[in-house]
Amino acid sequence: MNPGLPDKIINQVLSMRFSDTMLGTVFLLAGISLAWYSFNLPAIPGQNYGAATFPLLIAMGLIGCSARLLYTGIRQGSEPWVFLSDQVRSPRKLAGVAATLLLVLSYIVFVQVIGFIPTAIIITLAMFLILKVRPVKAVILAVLAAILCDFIFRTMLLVPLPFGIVPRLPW
Amino acid sequence: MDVILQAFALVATGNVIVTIIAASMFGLFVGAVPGLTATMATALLVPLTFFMEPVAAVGAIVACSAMAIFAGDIPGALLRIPGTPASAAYVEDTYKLTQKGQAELGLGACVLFSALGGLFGTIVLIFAAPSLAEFAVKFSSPEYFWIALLGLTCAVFMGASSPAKGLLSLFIGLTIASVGLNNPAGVPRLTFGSTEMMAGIDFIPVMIGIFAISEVLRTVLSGGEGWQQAPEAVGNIFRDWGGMLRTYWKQLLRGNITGTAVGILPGAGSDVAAYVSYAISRRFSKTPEKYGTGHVEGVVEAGAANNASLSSAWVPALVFGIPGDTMTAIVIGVLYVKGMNPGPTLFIFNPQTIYAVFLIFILANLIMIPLGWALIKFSKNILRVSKAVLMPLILIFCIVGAFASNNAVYGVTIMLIFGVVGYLMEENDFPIAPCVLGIVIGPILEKNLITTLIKSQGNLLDFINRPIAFAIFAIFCLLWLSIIVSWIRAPRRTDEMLRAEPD
Repeated sequence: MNPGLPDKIINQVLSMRFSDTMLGTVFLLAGISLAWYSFNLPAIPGQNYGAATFPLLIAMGLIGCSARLLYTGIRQGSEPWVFLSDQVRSPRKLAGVAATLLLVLSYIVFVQVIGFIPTAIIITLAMFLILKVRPVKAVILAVLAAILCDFIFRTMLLVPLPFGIVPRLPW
Repeated sequence: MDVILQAFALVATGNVIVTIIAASMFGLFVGAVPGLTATMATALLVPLTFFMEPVAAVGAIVACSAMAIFAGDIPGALLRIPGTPASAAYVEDTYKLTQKGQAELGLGACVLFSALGGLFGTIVLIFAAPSLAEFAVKFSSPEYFWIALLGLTCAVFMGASSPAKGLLSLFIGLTIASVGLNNPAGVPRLTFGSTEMMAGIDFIPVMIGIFAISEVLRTVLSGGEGWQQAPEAVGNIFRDWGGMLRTYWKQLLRGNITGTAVGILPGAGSDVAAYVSYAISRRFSKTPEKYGTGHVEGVVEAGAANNASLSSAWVPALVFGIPGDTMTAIVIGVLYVKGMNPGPTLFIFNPQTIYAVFLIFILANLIMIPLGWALIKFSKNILRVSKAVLMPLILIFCIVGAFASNNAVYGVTIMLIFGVVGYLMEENDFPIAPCVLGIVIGPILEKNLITTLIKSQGNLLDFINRPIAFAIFAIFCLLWLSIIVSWIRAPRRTDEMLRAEPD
């Protein structure tokens, strides 16, 4: 029995793994900063326990576990800090991931100005092209998806999706 | 009786029925597409439930999750790619059956025993939850503290290949839960001057990020390539039902009980139920050598177990507000939004809504049979949909869903951050469940810890000097003892697994 297994059956090919030493260091620093931050939280007047107690306990846990990771990491000797499989190293695919993240960021920045429908069309269209869907199919699907999302969320569920430069649609 | 009639009236409205059927079809589709998990289906559904009546909202989630867990069996049987992790335990058997030309036997078993398992779990839920709630009314802060801690311990050690990573995942979740004003002193904690973060980190965008955006990123990295095999046609799935029920009723019963028990354990979900139950089935089978070669016995038992666990996971969720798995963690978020705050009082003040939810459980497991049959008939077409087409649509749906959670782009930002975090965590073998449960249980744990500490003026004995608290504490100690014993017995196993991994 190993319940951790199924995800790996599905995604065997991809890998971006950090060494235990690296992970241990990152979490150790996180634990120390959390502890330092918690010390400076104001106390409840007249009480020994307050807002700081719980994060301090978490910080202790973080530090303990990262020590354990550092121990295994150092015992394993000099592994590279990060292991990338060939697929992850391919510049095209890395650019794809960067583009995906940038597209979501651009939604956050521009949706108020440009409006939901154009932003949604741009994002879905770009994603289709990154994933090599045929352009004609991509354009049709992107427009349909944007209008459908607008219909479901703005018209039916009354979510105030920003209009931006687009006039209010008739429905 | 009056309450049950009221519950019927709540369920038997066109609105609720249509919602349940639509959510079922959505769950079947998402579950049947490999790589999209049942939890992801639930997380994507949540933004839509904000705008529904409470019963319809909870019903949609019940139906969607039950269908997705069952539908995960279909690509497993036809393509050897489990649709959800919960189907991975017996994928060898169902796939080999398909290769032998007996796809209808394997899939028939999946449909029938998923539904029966789900119904059994529901019956346990119906009887166990209200009586447990009567008992839980007597609980005070130390009891809740120990139950929360027990749940988190199970979550960490049931799924992790490395305990340190499981614990770190939990601590990430607890830290996220600590953000905001909602703490004993009411001071802004970890908000870094942001007004939006004062309300804490919104749970729904976090779920969408961890379960959906991370999958989008993974698809982009793999270039959108997917499965290109064409599945075969499936015959009459009902043909072998009578024979299987006669031969395997014992396995069915055992699978039901195992699944229900694992489901009630806080922190262990349907994938764990399927693995445990498959292992038990093999251990007690007269023909253990046939397992993994296209033998339906293990499928019966584990298929029943994963659906049974799904229903019984609601027991701790409804009674204590402690989720049994990642899906009920999401459910708890929805219950709070809908004003049905989980806890024993839910059964006192709102019994008709709870009974309505129980009715929906029964209904969902019954319509699983016709809808499952239809899905198997259409599976050829569904499995041809490529990930390259699906993922951009999922991405835009995620963005709108995260936006809808509080009508601001703040939700989208959170979703993006946690998409990256979730991706990195999975790549590095950090289990996701402890983090998710940490976010949900964290506030309960902190509140009851601090309350008890302040009540007792720091006297730690007050944590165990009430009888129920002491009993839960004893179970907690036994659990830790068994974990430590298993560490001493097999100290090298995880190290070897880690070393073998990079190839």
